[in-house]
Amino acid sequence: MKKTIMLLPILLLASCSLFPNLDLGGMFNGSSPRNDQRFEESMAYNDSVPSRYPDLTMPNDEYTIYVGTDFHVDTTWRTTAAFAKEAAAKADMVLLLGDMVNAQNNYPHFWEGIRALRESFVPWYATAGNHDIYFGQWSVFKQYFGTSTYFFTVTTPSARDLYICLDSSDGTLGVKQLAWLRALLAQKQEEGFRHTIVFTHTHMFKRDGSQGHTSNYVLEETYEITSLLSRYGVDWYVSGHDHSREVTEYKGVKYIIVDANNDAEPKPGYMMAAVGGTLAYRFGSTDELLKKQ
Amino acid sequence: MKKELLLVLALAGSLVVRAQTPVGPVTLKAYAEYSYNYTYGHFANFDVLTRVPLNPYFELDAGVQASTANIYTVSADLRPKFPVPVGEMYLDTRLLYKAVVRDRMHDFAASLGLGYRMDYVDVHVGLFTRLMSDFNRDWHSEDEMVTEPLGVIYNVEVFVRPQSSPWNLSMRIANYDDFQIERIWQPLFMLGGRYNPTERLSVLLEAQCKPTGMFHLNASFYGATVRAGVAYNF
Repeated sequence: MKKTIMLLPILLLASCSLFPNLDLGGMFNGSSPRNDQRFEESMAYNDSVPSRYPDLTMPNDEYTIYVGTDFHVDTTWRTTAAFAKEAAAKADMVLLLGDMVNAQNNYPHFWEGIRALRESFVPWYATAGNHDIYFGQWSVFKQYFGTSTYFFTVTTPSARDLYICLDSSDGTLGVKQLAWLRALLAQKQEEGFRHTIVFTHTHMFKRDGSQGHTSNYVLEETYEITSLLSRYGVDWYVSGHDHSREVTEYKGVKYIIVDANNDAEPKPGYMMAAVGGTLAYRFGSTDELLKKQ
Repeated sequence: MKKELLLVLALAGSLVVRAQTPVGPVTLKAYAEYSYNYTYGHFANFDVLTRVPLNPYFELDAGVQASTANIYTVSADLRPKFPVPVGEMYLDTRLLYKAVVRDRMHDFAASLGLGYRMDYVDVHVGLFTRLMSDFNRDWHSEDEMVTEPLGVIYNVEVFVRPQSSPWNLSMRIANYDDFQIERIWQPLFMLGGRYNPTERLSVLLEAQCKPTGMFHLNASFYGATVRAGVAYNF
């Protein structure tokens, strides 16, 4: 018994060195700042660099957005680069829903992976996933993306759409971000937006067992956020995290989980949406892009 | 075949032994809770729970909780019991209905599990599912009731003293308590204390910590609850 107890720390250390990409500590007690602090830092960044994720004007009433998530870039970035190239060529706007990197020291690789997007004129918007802030990497995320909570509008000749980006990378919106979301939705309701789309990393519902039961929000937060989104007429809540597509319509809101787009994924994918008088979506296969490119 | 026969005989024998034991008392518990979480802030809950031994093989737990966060919960748990040489095995058939009035929605959860309890340990593992629906669901729309796939329900509780002791302390990890069934990756960490000033009366003090994002997200604190109560054996 005594020997077993003595062996435990050794086994733990061994498992850490066997799985260097696994932030065991982060799974039990995250090493990046808590959501409230990240939210405050995001708000401070939004105030100081308002041009980072600007409001957009589209020439037509209908435009196309590409959504990619769970890139988990490690030492390779084929699927990320394929998605970025396609999006740079065809999208009017791109949303990146987090888990850009898999573990430590991979941000430069992801940055390289989205080179086509960065060098294009297509605006892109990003938020943080859990992997992005594992190993205390929030500060690195900020260097690349600046903020993980913000909103922007898209103005077309006859309408305006509202996009809200949330940081859900630790499975909660925290106190301050939830209060901000409540106030923002109430305030923006007056402005009569055509569509309101919320995008973030963590999925709201999980109805199939495709990746086992990936953790998401606690129940209280599920009740509260879904109620809030319904009350203020949000159209879509778009997320990743679970790695496999799923669409649920609940209380008037479509909850869309987008496929993961990474090199280890058996069927990497992404989502394309047509935003016009109505909202329409379809899923694309990155394998097809790789064959085509 | 021989093994199966021995198992049936052992079970039958244990039931005969059990039939000779008297049915335990009806227990009534009342709690007042203080809670804090990121979503509701500070709030209080009031719980009433009862345990009714129906006969030597079945007991029924039932409870109601009213929360100042405007959430109302009822629970029922029918528990067939199978005495074993040491301790007791049980089936746990748990139903939980939550009227989340503040968010105008229903949450209904049901679980079935197998447990074993003795003086120092209570362990339970099983499966559960959940259904969530809007109070005012439009049946003529694309709106759906959200049904979750089968998930695992679990409980491990260890006690420092035997159950017959006039006082006891316990540590517990589970993804459920009397009034909630969380998903598998959402453990609740609990501490409990009991003191019996008289043979029929117990004073109870419990604390619970609820993290969020464990295992698949960046783990963080979410909420905590402290509850104090009394239990009376009739």
